[in-house]
Amino acid sequence: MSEREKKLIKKIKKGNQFAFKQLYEAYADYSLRTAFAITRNQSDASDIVQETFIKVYRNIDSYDTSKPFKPWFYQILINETKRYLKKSSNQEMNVEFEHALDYLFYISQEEENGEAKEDLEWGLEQLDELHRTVITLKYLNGFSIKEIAELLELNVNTIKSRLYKGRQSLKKIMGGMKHE
Amino acid sequence: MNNDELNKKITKHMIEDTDSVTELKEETWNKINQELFPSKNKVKKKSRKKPIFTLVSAAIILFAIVFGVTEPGQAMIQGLKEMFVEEKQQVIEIEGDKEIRDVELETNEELEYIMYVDKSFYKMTKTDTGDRIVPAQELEDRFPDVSMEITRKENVSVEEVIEEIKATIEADGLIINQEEHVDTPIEGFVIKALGPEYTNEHGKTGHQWDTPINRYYVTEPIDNQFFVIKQEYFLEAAEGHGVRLNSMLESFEIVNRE
Repeated sequence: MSEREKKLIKKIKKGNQFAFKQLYEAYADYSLRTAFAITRNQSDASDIVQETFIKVYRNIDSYDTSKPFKPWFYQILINETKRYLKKSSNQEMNVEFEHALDYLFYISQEEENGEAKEDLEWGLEQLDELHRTVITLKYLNGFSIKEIAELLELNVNTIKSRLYKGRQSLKKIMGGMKHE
Repeated sequence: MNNDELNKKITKHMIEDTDSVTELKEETWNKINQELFPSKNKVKKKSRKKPIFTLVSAAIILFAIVFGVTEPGQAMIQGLKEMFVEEKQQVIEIEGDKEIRDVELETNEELEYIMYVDKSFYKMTKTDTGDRIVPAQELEDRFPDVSMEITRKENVSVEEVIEEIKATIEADGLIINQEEHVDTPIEGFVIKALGPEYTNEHGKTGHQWDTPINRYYVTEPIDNQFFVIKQEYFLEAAEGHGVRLNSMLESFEIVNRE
């Protein structure tokens, strides 16, 4: 955690609303992107980010400043996202991860490179909540596998295997395999 | 395509794919703001009895429009009271027992700082140079003074002020027993001094229950300005007033509104 962020958190702990706005400015973009990448719904993403920041402000005293802030923050965000997904009917849009990967592999052989972007988008949308969350945290937020495992309270090997399968399929879709 | 290229490609795609949602940033903040700080966002009722209010508000809005005042500049207009919650709870440990105290916001617009004060124990009064916190109920004459004074220093170096403090301590007949940089209750330099040992009426020599303690905190300078916080209490009150004063000081914050 940077010195600036440390000072900001210290100020928020003291009740400084201005510092809280600065924290929002620093984290809002990627929180919205993350929530949207997982839920695929802009309105839900906004609500999730709203609830997350409210929880962060109200529970900031329970945050241990000796630990990095970003994983603490994203754990709240991911929990809020999970809560929203449970509540909403979005769940029914998800298909089994393995089926989605099969489809990704199938279209990778059928489509041309120019259409790969749309395929990737479709492929990501078809992943279930857990796999989309893992891929989002890895590729959008830059978390390490260990951090993702801690954040989601899952085994490191589970995350590794899901990421490996996902990457292999995405690689095929994006036309990479045939050039190797 | 190697792994690095693939990683970059996926990340690039995900960023492009989620670009549109960032347009909801301001709208989302407005909802958070309404929920967390409703008093700041209350719509003022129109009042015919106080036309001056409308004029002042209009002048502020006009000023904001003309000079393009937006966040964080808005804070200058808001005032310190609107930047912080009015009341909150603070956990304090007195002689090993945890207490939850209700503390209230005190602001000094001129010196640009805030602090939360436990008003069931203390009150804040203005002095010529700053603020002074003293026990809400006056102590009997037999007790040495208990207080915390906050003053701002400008256009003078920290070293010079530290030398002045040491000279004052010596003139008061106290002996320095702590001198160091600290992180708590605030970041800065602390100088603590005790009254001399003496022999009491029972023949016991050493520091006594009423031995005075003076503790000075000097904050780090920002733009040639810094604060000196002087605490006065006595040995028997070290675990009481000494801890309570520091607990309030922990909430001390210089507000940089630029």
